[in-house]
Amino acid sequence: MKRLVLLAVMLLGCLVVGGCSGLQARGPMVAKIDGNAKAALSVILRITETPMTDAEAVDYLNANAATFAEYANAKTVNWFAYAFGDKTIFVTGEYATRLDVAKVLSEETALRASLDPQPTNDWMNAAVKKECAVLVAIRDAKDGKGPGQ
Amino acid sequence: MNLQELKDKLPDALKPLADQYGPTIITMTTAELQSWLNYVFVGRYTEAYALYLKAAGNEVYLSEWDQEYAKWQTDNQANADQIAMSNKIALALCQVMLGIILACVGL
Repeated sequence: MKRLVLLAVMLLGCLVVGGCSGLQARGPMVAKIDGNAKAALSVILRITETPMTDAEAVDYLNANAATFAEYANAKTVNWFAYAFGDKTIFVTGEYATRLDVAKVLSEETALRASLDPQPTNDWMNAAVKKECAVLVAIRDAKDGKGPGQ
Repeated sequence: MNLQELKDKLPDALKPLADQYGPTIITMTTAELQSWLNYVFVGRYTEAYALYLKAAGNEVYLSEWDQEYAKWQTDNQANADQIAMSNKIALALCQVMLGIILACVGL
């Protein structure tokens, strides 16, 4: 009987461990990542038709910087901090680096966009688009999707 | 001064930073570098940082975002491949264990 229980536990373990993504989220963070990616996709489509004004783009870049900072601050590579602590994103070392780089780069981009002389409107819109693409990639990482899946 | 000369003058611990910030710093004029140092000495770090960002040139950010996006795509592909492999292994193990369990209970 003990062996049977052990085997059943191992079977359950296989089902649980199989298919875990390198970037996982829990609680409200799941909806945040999904919502931000959905909004980012609609912004990409919108910009393609009607570019943002400079002021809109600066506001959006600032909002993106806050979003990337929130992700980076919520992440951990420590499973216990994720399961029992206040961290809501569990990542591999590689994804942790990606989130840290995105945080710094988005801060720099937002700051550069607001400095005089301001970059061109094309630059602002391109920056917004590229940041949005990364927000979508973060959602894909959470969902375990590769490019084009 | 070129980037290699700059790196040669730095201690080993700072050499990785030279790769990141060096290309911009060596393009800054003497006046810009003096202003940067003045800002740092009086604790006006935001202005110092802004001066560096202006010197970096606008296109740097866009190309860095392109590189970053490419890295996300590569990592996501690896992640998806790993999940697919884990699922295959888990499924194979489950099939074997299910057989054993069924044999144990006499089915």
